[in-house]
Formats: sequence, structure tokens, C-alpha cells
Amino acid sequence: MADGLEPPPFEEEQEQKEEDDLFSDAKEKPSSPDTDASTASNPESNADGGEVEKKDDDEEEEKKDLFDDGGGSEIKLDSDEEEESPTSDDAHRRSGSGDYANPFDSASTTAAVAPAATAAASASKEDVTPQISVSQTSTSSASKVSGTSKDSREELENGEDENQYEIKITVTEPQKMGDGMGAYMVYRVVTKTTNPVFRKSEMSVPRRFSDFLGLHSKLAERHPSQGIIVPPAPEKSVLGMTKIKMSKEESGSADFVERRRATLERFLNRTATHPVLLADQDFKEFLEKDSDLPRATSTSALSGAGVMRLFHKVGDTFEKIAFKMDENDEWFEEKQQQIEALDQQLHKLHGSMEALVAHRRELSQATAVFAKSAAMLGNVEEHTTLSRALSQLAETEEKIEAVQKQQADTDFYVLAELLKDYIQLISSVKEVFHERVKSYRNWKEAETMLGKKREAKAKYEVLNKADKAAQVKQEITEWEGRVEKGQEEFEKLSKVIRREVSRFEAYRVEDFKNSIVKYLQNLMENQQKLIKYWEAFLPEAKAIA
Amino acid sequence: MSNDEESPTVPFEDSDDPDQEDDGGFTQDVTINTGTLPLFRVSVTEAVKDGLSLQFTIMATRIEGDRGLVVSRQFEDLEWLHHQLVAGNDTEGIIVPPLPMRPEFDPKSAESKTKKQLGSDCNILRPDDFDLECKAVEKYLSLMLSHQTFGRDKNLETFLCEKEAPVRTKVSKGIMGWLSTTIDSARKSQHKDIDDYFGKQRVWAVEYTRVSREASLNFNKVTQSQWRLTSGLQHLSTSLSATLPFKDDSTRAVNKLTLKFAEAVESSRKGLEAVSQTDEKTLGFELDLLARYMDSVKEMLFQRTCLMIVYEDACKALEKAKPQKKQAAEEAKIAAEGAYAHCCENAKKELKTFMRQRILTMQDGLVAFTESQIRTSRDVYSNLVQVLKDVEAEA
Repeated sequence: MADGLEPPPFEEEQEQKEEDDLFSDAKEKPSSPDTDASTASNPESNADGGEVEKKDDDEEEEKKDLFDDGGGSEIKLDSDEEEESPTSDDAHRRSGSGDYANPFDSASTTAAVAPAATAAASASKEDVTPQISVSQTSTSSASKVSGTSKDSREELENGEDENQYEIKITVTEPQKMGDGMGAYMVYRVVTKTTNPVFRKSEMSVPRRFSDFLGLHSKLAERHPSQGIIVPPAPEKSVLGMTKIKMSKEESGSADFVERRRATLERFLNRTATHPVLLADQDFKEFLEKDSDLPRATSTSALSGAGVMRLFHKVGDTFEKIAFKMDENDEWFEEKQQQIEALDQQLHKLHGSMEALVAHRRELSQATAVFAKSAAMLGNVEEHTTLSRALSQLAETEEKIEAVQKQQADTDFYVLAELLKDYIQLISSVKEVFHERVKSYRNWKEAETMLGKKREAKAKYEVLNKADKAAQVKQEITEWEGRVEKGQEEFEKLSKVIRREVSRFEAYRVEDFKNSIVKYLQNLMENQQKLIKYWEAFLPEAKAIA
Repeated sequence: MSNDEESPTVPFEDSDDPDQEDDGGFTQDVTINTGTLPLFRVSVTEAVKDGLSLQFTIMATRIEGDRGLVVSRQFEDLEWLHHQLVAGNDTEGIIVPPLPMRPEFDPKSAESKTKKQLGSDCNILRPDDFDLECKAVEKYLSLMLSHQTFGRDKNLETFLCEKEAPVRTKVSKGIMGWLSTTIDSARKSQHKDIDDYFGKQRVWAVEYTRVSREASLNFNKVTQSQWRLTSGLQHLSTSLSATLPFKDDSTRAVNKLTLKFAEAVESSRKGLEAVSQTDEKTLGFELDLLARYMDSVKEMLFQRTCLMIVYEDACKALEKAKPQKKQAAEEAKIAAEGAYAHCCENAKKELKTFMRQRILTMQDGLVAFTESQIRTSRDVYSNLVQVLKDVEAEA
């Protein structure tokens, strides 16, 4: 069980760690759904409670040793192992070593591990010798987790089971209900799944827009503090909805409705791929419950809850400015930079994409106008075959216009919206990072408090105030507990975040790839259409004279 | 010296070769030559900015010889030539090949042209591309050379052969003259026709001029839109190529994908660029020529209308004439009638020729236009096939 990893690699690594260059070449690892799943399965088991507790403890112990000396100090791997006194179970030790061995293991082998950012590997490496550049892109915390005391193979199996279940959600039939300012949109949410956790394999429920927002806000309240990245939900658009509310006919702003529907669909599907979120009761209820959900009144933009949200957001912002965390974890430092850079890049791409969509729409309009001119020219033209050819030209141009419009739509729905989603996802990621900073701060504040209490105790002892000293001693014990808890939570959060981030990154690669493939296929289809239309016209043109 | 006695020399000699006293009989009095038109084959190879003027390089080869000449002319020379051709020949009933538009080549207009084409957020200037202007000048000269009325005009020959461009004198109609002409034409164009055929032609010409002008303008707008789209695609592919430098697996994987995607975007852009350039030279060119030719047709019909009115007036005058004026009136009427009839005869021929010409050039334009669309789409498609394969191969 703890022998999930063989000793030899570990021994090997003991020699290797002397060499500085060991991790300077990044090795690429193929993405592995298994290990992803194993990571994924972890929080599952967490949620179910119990079995993973011990695992976490082990890691925390190791981590405690890591962090005790503060960041960047040279801690030999050996010493870490030796310092692991409290629960020096052989198994734990080996699991601990397995923990460290794993990155090296995967460095030398091409074991299927999740491709992701530098994770536990870098953390441990950093403490081994800070000089080693953290460029190795070996395992993620996935491997760290799987290397822990619990049977890693067991976990892998669990993980695989998880991923074997499919779930596909579609949001359809947008309908406007009601009239005037009280009008709202209702959608049909259809879920098809093989996951036995749901009561039925196919469900179809009606949901209104505020239900979606309600679900999102509950998830966003509950999970980011645990380090889980919650997918973004569409924003409330006062302008868009007002247009719909005010318009009499069904087809008001079809674009807006479609855009919203697509966003809602993506939100639900993304949420469903996350094991923790999928297990969330509210999410399950959202998909399953046949009757209407209780009105989520706190989602309306102008409600009391809305104002409180804004208030908290402002407070948060100040917090972020005021407290600067002492980042001693290179992995996190680099990740923050990456996330920032990615954010900027996405913004830029999104801008380019939107401009492109605008150009395409403009082109299709110009083509439509020309098509009409060509038709008119054909009408006035006296020569019969030229006249006919010109009319055919007009028809062809109309078809071309349809293709151009469709292309603009694809640009928009496949790419521009994807980029927008990711921009929002990134802000969720940032939020999760921020939670970690908050946790760190709590921990450190507790430490400071403890220090003060200790000082006070010493002072009282010197002053021979035994009763006061005793009182403080009690407080010390209390604060020691808090410090321990603070550290525990911080480390747990860091671990979860690492896993989440690598999950996010793997997901991102898949997502981008799928979207690009879809986009290219569409582009190719359109070129084929153009060829077809023009080839149909050519004989007409040739037959003029 | 006649051409035949000259030993064949280099096909294109520079006419400013100081060794030659004359150019080997090149500029011999060719108007006597009753050979078939055109007498010259013309090509305009390039246009170069020279200080404040745009110089066209015009190569002319005598059809019946093997020698060619290269001259440099600017638009004002062409304008002057046009004036001389029209003034020096009997143009009644003749549809005069239209003069090309004055080329814009000063920095300001180059900038505004680029902005119009590439959008106002574009910072680069499109490099000077006077292909269209060259093509227009070439077409004009060919049309003139092929025309019965103008093809043998000495001025045309001088234009093509003399090293130095002929001296120009300012031709200005003045504002007042222009104003009176406009009012005049508005009134006269409403004048009912005595001839059924021409009556219909006049109506048709007005309609057709309008729709052809509109079609030409709207086609140009489509092309401009296409140019703007290419700059948008350029922008996107540049953004895509600015990949993040991080070395972790997922960033590298995404980078590979985005670079492949950038390839696809570039392919689209190049295709669109190529197609737009061809569009301008094929259908765009023909529609523009058609619209300008229609102006000429309208002008010709207007002239005929004027003659018709003169004739009508002369007839009326004759009826009303007092005995002593009768003789003069009679003469006037006969003169007017003659002019009118002559004009109608020409006009009918010209209209027929124009109809035929129009159909052929439109066909050429449409065929070339369509073929280029097909060709480019095929090219882009095959590029995309490769890119898609590459993307799907990325694990």
C-alpha cells in the first residue's frame, strides 16, 4: 500500500539530488486521465469523509517540516525524513519518501502522470537545494497525492470509475415568460448521464435564469475557500434583459438569447466535469429536482444581498492591497506570474477576436448590398444571357453572404466566447489563490499571537505572577492549537489549489484543442461551400457570349 | 526612309538614344497608313512617383513592325491627349472611350486610401500599388487605338512615340460655363424624342448608368471590407503568435495549438488578400469601366439630342419663316438634318459595338473573377486540411 512506489528510485534520487542540473530540462508528459481522476477522486473521498484524513496528515507533517524553517532554506531530503518523528510509521515514512520519490520517478520514467505546472516536485526540489531551477514540468500534485500512504492504485481505480461516467447537459428552449418588467427567461435543462449518483439517467427540468445565478452564487460561496475553482456563470445584463422584457415579439434580440443559452450550457457542463462540484447537493438538485426551485432572490442586481456582495468585494480588494504574503513556495510564485500573463494574453486575444467578428459582419453586409446591385444591373441589362448571368451572380453573392455571416457567428460562439469564459475562469483562479493568502495570513496572525502570549508568560514568570502566568499558559495552549490548525488548513488549501490548477490547465488544453478543431472544421466547410457556389456560377459566366 | 529598309534592331529602344538622328522612320507619317487598327500594341508596365507627379511607363509596339518604344507620361498628358482627340475629330454619335480617373498618389491620399481599405485603426501604409491605374491607362489607350475615329489620330501616335510629352495648354471651362451646361443638359435631357429607338435608348442609358455606377461602388465597398478583414486577420495572427514563454507542459501544449491556429489564420488572410487584389483587377475593373463608359454613352446621346433639338427648331423655323428668310431657313434645316442624320447613323453603329464590347468585357471580368475565387478557396482549403491534421495529431 504505501509501497505504491518502489524504494530504488528513492535511493537513486538521493544521489541525484546532488546534481544541480537534474531538473533543468523539462520533460513533457502525456496527459493522463487516470491520474487526473485519481486526484479527482481524492476530494470525492474527502467529501465522503474519512479515508483521506490520514493521508493529509502525513503530507502535512512532511510539509510542516518543510515550512518550519521558512522558505528557501537548505533542507536536505535526508533530514526531512529523519525529522518525521510524530507518526514515524514505516509505512508513513516510505509514503513520505514516496512523496518525494515520485517526482523523480516520473522524471526518469514516462509514467502516465498529469501534465501540468510544476507542483509538489518543485516544492520539494526547492527545499532540497534552492539553486535548482524550477523548470521541471514533471508531475503535478496528482502524483504527490497518489504517492501518499493510501493505496495509490486504489485511488487510480476510483478515479477511473469516476471518469467512466458521462454526463452531458444541454440548455434548450429559451422562452420568455410573463410581460413587461416582470418578464423572465426560462430554459429547459436536459441532463443525460451514466453516473449512478443521479436518480435517473435522463432528466429534464425547467429552470429560470435566476436559478442558474443562484446555483452559481452558492457554489461560489462554498467552494473557493476550499481551493476549488468554480466555473463562471453568465453575468446579469440589465440592458439585454430590458430589451427582451420590453419587446413584444418572441424574436427580440435573438443573438442575445442564444449567447446566453450557450454560456449557461458551458457553465453547467464545466461544473459537471468537476468531481467536487458534481457531488455538490445544490448542483445535483438543480439538475434533478422536477419542481421549480425556490426563487434565488439574492441574485438580483439591486437586492440587499447584491449590495452586501459588492461591499465584500470592495473589502476584499483592500485586503489584497494591504497584506503582502511572504511567498516561499516557488511553484505558487511562478503560477501567479503565469496566471497574470495568461490573463493579459487572453484579454488581447479576445479583443482581436471581437474586432475580427465585427469585420466579418461588415463584410457580409457589404456583400448583401452588392448582391442587390448586381440583381438590379441584371434587371436593366438588355442582353439576355448577360442579364441572366448577372442575376445568377446576385444569387451566388447572397449565398456567399450567408457563409460569411455564419463564419462571423462561429468566430464569435466558438472562439470569442471561449476566450471570455477563460478570462472569467482566470479570475476564479485568482480568487482561489487569494483564499490561500487569506489562510496564510490567518495562520501567521495566530503565530504572532502565540509569540505574544509566550512573551507575556515569560514576563509574568519573571515578575513572579504565578496566577497570571498560569492563565496565559492556558491561552498559549489554545493559540498553539490555532497555529497548528492554521498551518494545517493552509497546507491543505495549497495542496487542493495545486491540484485544481493542474486540473484547470489540463482541461484548458483539451478545451482549446477541441475549440480549435471545431473552428478549423467550420472554416474548411465554408471554403468548400464557396468553391461549390462559384463552380456552379462559372458555366453561367462562360456562357454569356 | 521606310520602315523596311531599316535593319532590325533591339525591339525596345529608348527613344532618347542620342546616336540616332531620328528613330528609324518610326514617326513617319503614319496617318497615311491604312492598315487595320490598332496600329500599336500598348502596355503600361509601371507607374512611379516622381516628385509631384506620377509617371507612367508606356511601351508601344507597332503591330506591323518589330520595334517598340518606351515613353514616360503623366496623367495630365493623357488628359491633354483626350482633349485633343475629342476636339480634333468628328465625335457626333461617337461613344468616346472614357478617360481614366485621375490617380491619387500624394501621401495624404495614400494614407486615406489605406485607411479606407484597412480600417481607421491600421497604422501601416499599404505600399504604393498603381497596378490598377496602369491597367486603366493601358485599357484607355487600347480602346482609342482600336477606335475607327481615333485610332489613326496623329496625336495618339505622338503621345506614344515622342520622347517628350506634347506641350499642354490649360483647358478650363470655367465655372459659369459648367453651370450653364448643367442646367442646359437637365432641360434638354427631358426633351421628348422623335425617334422611338433612340427614345428607348435614352431611357435605358439613364437607368443603366445609375445601376452600373451603383454596382461598381458597392463592389468596391465589398473589396474594401475584404481588405479591412485581412488587417483584422493579421492582427489576430500576430496576437496568437505572441505565445507565453513558460515552459510547463500545458503552456507548451497550448502554445503549439495557438501557433497552428495562427497558421490557419495566416492562410485565410493570404487567400483573402490574393482574392481581393484579383477582384479589383477583374470584376472591379470591368464594373468601373462600364460605369464610366455609360457616362460617355449618355454624353453621346445628349449630343444627339441637342442636334435633334437644333433640327426640330430648324424645321419649325422653316415653317414659320417669312419669305425672305425662307432660303436661309431651308439651308439651315438641311444642314441640321444632315448633322442629325449623320449623328444617328454613327450612334446606331456605336451602340451596337458598345453592346457587343460590353458583353465580352463583362464576361471576361466575371469569368476571371469567378475562377480566382475558386482557385483561392481551393488553396486555402488544402492549407487548412494540413493544419487540421497537425492539430489533431497534437496529443
